Amino acid sequence: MTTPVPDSVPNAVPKPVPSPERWEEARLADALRETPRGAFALSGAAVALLLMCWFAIYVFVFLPRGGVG
Amino acid sequence: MKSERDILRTELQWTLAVGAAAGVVSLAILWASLAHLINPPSNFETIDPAALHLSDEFTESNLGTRVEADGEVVTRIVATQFAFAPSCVLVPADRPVTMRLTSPDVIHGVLVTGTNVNTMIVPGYVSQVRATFRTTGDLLMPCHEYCGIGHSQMWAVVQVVPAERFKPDAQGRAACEKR
Ligand SMILES: [Cu+2]
Repeated sequence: MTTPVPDSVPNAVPKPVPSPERWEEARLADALRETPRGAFALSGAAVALLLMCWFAIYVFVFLPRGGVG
Repeated sequence: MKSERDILRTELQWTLAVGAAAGVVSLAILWASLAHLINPPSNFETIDPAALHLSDEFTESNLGTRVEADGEVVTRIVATQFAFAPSCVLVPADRPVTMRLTSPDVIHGVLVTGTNVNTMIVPGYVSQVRATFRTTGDLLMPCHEYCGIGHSQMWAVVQVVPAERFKPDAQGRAACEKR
């Protein structure tokens, strides 16, 4: 096989140039290595945004309106 | 490749992060409740929903706004399918107002736009909220609990006027100005 291995997955490059099946596996392993970080970034940003909106409404809208109990 | 152990650690870390977020929100609510006495309305008072017209309080002539002998401003409102009686209540600005509401038929609910006034109105019970209205003007008070086919037509107005325009009559009653 003469398919060139891309530079972006240097760690996944087995020597010599692998079969397409091995190459796909290596790419998958590489992607999975980054997955938890991406999941943390995405869910962290979503939850942080939600918290910020909640506190903004709580502090600037809810509390100034006062109690009704 | 990530091992089962790594995945478990990631999940634990995320659980801690979400737990901390929920904890911060709970603390904020607890702080408002204990330090500022900001709590949900929690009046517990029963009334016969089939005999409101015979009750001491929710008879037709006693509905609306009234300044009690002790100077307390009280509004009494009956929520029915599909209207509020009365459909407009007059209240003074910057003065504590007690709103008392009940229902003879099904569950309704109200909120007053731009305020924290928000409560369910359950037949058999008297809902009570206390509020001080800071802005003058007509505040919309819609029914916010689906109560039947006419639900979307069910709304009233809280007319907030400056203290000098709030002039109760000899019985202490005050009604909305012509709009
Ligand atoms: Cu209703």
